[in-house]
Amino acid sequence: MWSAFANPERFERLAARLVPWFGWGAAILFAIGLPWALIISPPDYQQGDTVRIMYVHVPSAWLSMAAYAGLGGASFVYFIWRHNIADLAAQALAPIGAVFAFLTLATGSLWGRPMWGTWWEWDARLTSMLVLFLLYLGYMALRAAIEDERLAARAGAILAMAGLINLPIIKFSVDWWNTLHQPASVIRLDGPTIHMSQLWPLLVMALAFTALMTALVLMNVRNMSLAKRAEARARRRIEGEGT
Amino acid sequence: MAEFFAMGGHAVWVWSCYGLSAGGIAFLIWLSFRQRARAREWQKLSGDGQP
Repeated sequence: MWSAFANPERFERLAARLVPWFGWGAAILFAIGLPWALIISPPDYQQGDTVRIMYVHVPSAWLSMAAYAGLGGASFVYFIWRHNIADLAAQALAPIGAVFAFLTLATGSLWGRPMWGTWWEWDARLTSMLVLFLLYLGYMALRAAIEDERLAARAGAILAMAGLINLPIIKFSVDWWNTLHQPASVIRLDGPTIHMSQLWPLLVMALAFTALMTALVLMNVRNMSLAKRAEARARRRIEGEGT
Repeated sequence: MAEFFAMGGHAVWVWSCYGLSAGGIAFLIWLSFRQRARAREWQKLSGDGQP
């Protein structure tokens, strides 16, 4: 079934249809989620209004990890089956994941300063998230450093797959080690411990971020695929005119 | 209104986070449109229509 999407033209047609749905979906969800997060949801009894940082921090963290899972998965598909669309998906996911990882670190730091009294603490959750950000930067730097595209794709795929080990470390760091970062309060086996008045706006914002990321990834993969095929045709044409 | 922007005395932290997030998202959208412009350039060079 998945090999059907390895056909670039089929993928481009499908992506062109899906991008507006996800794009407008994200806009609508942000229009609902932002007033809910900033105005309607109550301040926390301990954190006060700084709890509103959670509505951008947590979705950024989830998506930075989801984007890396996608990057690792796409790299695996490329490494085994050599599907070019999978490689393009990996390339599209890297900058998006890097921005979300950066936002996670920056918004976490801005929350930590008034709540913990420090901008940064070398605890397991924060450090493993920094490693994720560095993995994204390393992946993009590695690909940019190798001129041969196929070699760059293979080397990038190996790095991306090796980096997957960091995802469970991020997720379970708060359980495995004694960290300053609070334990999971939403994705838990025994259900969320967060109050519904904060959980719902958080979920709406997470959906908005997810829809936005999906639209951007689909748009970028489609455009990279179009550019790649057009570049190949243009080169063939120029070479044909030269002979 | 002033109370809303004051965020209970935490305005600097809250609005910095939302500003950074908006900036990050705007940057990603700009990257995507730059990618689209590049695709269109190649399509023009190859003699194709617009994507």
